[in-house]
Amino acid sequence: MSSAGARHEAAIEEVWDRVRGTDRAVVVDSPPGAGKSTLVRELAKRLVAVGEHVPIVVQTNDQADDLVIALAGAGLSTGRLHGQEWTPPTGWPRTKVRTGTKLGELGGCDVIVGTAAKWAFVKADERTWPLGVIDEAYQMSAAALVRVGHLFDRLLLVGDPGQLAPFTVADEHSVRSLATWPLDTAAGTLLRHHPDTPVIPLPVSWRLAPHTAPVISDAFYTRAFTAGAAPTDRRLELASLAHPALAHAAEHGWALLELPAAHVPRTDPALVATLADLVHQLVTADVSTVDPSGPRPLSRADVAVGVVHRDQKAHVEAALQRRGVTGVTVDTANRLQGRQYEVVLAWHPLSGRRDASAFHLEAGRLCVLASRHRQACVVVSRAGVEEQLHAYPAAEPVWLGTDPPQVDGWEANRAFLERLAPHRITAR
Amino acid sequence: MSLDVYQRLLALSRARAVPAASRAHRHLSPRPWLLTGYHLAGEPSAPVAIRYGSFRDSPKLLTVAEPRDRALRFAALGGLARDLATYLSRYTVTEPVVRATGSGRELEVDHCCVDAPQLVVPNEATAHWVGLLGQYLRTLDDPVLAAAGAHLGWIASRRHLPGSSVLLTATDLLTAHWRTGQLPTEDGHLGRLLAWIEPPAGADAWQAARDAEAMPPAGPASDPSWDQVVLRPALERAKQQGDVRRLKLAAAEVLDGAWRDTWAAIDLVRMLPPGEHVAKRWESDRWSWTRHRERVLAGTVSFSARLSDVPAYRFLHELETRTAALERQMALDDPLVMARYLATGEAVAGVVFKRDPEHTVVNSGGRSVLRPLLWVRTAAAFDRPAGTELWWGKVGMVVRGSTDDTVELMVTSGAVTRPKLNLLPDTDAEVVLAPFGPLQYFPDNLPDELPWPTRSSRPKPAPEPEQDDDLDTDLAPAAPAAAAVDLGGTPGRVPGPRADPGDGVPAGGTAAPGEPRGAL
Repeated sequence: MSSAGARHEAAIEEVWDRVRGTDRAVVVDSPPGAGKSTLVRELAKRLVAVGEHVPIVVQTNDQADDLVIALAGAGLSTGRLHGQEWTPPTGWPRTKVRTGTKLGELGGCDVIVGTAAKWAFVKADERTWPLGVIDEAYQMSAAALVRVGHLFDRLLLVGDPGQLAPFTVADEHSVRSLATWPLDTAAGTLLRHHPDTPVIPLPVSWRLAPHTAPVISDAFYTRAFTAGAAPTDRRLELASLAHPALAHAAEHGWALLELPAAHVPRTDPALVATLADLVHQLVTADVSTVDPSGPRPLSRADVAVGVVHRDQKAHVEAALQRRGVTGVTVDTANRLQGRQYEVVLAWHPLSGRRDASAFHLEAGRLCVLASRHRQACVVVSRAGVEEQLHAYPAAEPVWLGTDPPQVDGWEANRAFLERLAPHRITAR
Repeated sequence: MSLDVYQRLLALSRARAVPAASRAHRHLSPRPWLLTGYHLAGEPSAPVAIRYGSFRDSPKLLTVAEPRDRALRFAALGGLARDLATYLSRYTVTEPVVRATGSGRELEVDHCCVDAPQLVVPNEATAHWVGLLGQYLRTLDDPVLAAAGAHLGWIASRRHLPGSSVLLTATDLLTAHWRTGQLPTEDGHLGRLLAWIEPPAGADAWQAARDAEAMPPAGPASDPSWDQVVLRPALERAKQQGDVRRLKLAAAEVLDGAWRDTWAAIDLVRMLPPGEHVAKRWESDRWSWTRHRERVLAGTVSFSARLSDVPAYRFLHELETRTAALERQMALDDPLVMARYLATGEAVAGVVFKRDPEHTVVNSGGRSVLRPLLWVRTAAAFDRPAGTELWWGKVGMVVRGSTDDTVELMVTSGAVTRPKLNLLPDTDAEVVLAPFGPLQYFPDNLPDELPWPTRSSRPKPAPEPEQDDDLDTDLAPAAPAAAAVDLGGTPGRVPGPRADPGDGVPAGGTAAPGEPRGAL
């Protein structure tokens, strides 16, 4: 146990040495829940302590809000650079924080946090910084990096390589004809152009449970990691009569709940109802989550449903509202990136589909859905995904001018399913 | 439920295509230039025969008696180049346009061509071929051929921009407005597609489609048995006896089907009233044509087969902006397109049966603000959750709750002050609440040159080997961003194409960096 802690500490110190060194850029690869947010907070503290001002680029407003709350909690005077429509979330700190739509309104702040889209409006002739920090650098596109890169002399990029690749609403084929690939990840494009950049992996996931981390590490990552928690540290206590899938997941960390095989519309009503029923049972039954800090009742904020499409989100949310359940997060993989819950129910991307398109095969999508939990993850799917995978072998062309993805989506899907086979529960 | 799937099944059961649009969503020129032709098997740069022109009943015909003979080929293409120049010369009249510049506060007068040329071809393969011919011709020394190459290059580059109507394919025209019961790939065959939309009296679509498949292909690849049985003897005869009559007759006959089918596709779409935003999108094509002409006159036309650096990023921004704008405009223009969003549940239709225009809420600043409430009776349950945002024109609202046949909404923008309450729908008004609000325009925020993280710090290796344009057939030249995007909802302001860096023109084109782009 202490060895996991020691390896983590060693990685942190290596990052700090690199940040204080001469490398123009440093990349930190962080698997899910490896302490990335803590790392960013810790580095910001150390940098402020040596008199630096720290600009931090994040990808979404939620991430920015979370980070500002954490930084202010650590006693740093923090500025939140935001857009016109932004309103402070609940729990917004009363002290140590300034907010503004313009850089000028944040004078005196040691740390300034904003989304990449907002930073893009800052002009380099206004101000530049010796070092910039980019959080979620694998979620950010090269196109976003191009718009902020000139603001910083050096960069620290922190991110999870198992995230979803940046996407576009435009016809991707037209973009593929470019000599540059603007939808590469920010970290990917930086490493491509500056191959000598040091990459420091964080070796320990503090989020994932000991019995779920190996599956994620094997299926979705090229740099292996382990769980920081010991097998006896955590457990989920369910009342009797719990759904077999929940009971199984409580014990083993995983459950794969399979509905009868069928080709169904994207908003599969049976899957919607199953997910809503499972959530309803989780939040109304007497469930406790136990970890070294002691037992506590599972709250609604501890549960999330991960889906693939926005219309699935809408249908699941509406089904929950009909069951009188509110306060449970339902969102797409895209928006769940960087978030963590005790229990996650995941809509398998390939469930009920006739084909296996590149979108639904993307390794990052399944990885995000399967790696948001601390205790347990229930994957809900129509049966027959294996057959579907074998009927649609990966046929993505190799594109000139871009690096192939580190992890092949088809193989990741297959490997994940294979590891989940012992946890298969057939729905009645 | 996807309306698209339903319409395809409906077409299947009726054995006839069903309308997928009630408006024309492509601009149709009153005088398009059509082109259909064949090249030698496996040699796109060796045209065998091309039928082209603006007159349905008197097309021009180009034939090359020995397609492998470059002198003969260029002589024949020279005729096409001159005819193209004559056609394009009709589109040189400009009109003064007042438009905003820079930050949008200053006005200036610019000149835009009142109309632009339009090329219509039978299918995607021919559109791609046009681009290849452009690449081939523009590198030649002959000024007439090179100019035609530059024009064809510009025309082909517009094909990649959603909403552009400079280069239309008949298959796209039809699939944008009708759904057939056959596979989407089969829709790529113009004859089959027309058979589904207008089967001959008494025949069902399947039979008509099979009959259409028996006809000569629309090109640019010819039927191998025709090559063998008709073309080869005709070419022999032309070569040995200098008699091209047989070749011309054979070419005219074999290209006639695609020629008439392409006109038929135009006729079909012309019967639909144009969508309201079509003219606005065509305006962006007119600006692009205007800038292209200026570059041709100034001798600064240049093309890159593949964009790189900042123009590549600008192109992505352009594509994304145009894709979103086109989707929104088509839905707002056309009830049948909006029906797709009703079918998926993204939009909701119904009758307002109750209103509370005086409803207020206390905002975060503690002030009481007007937030009118509306109740809408719907035909089907609206299954999106509370908090979903919907729009009725410029009036924005969020869903507060729904039952099996009602939706309760709170107006959050567009009609939240007393003077604007008259903009709310009346009781008993039929409304369609759509997921499309007034389109916001985001500047591309791109720097003039790539910042250090996104370019290599090491000195560039030797210049890249010369691109062989004829080789990169799969990667058609992508058009870089044209600034003139119709973003809708900005009346009185003309898209600012002054800095339009031009289609097919990479960085270092005519637009100086820092010039205002899209003053929208």
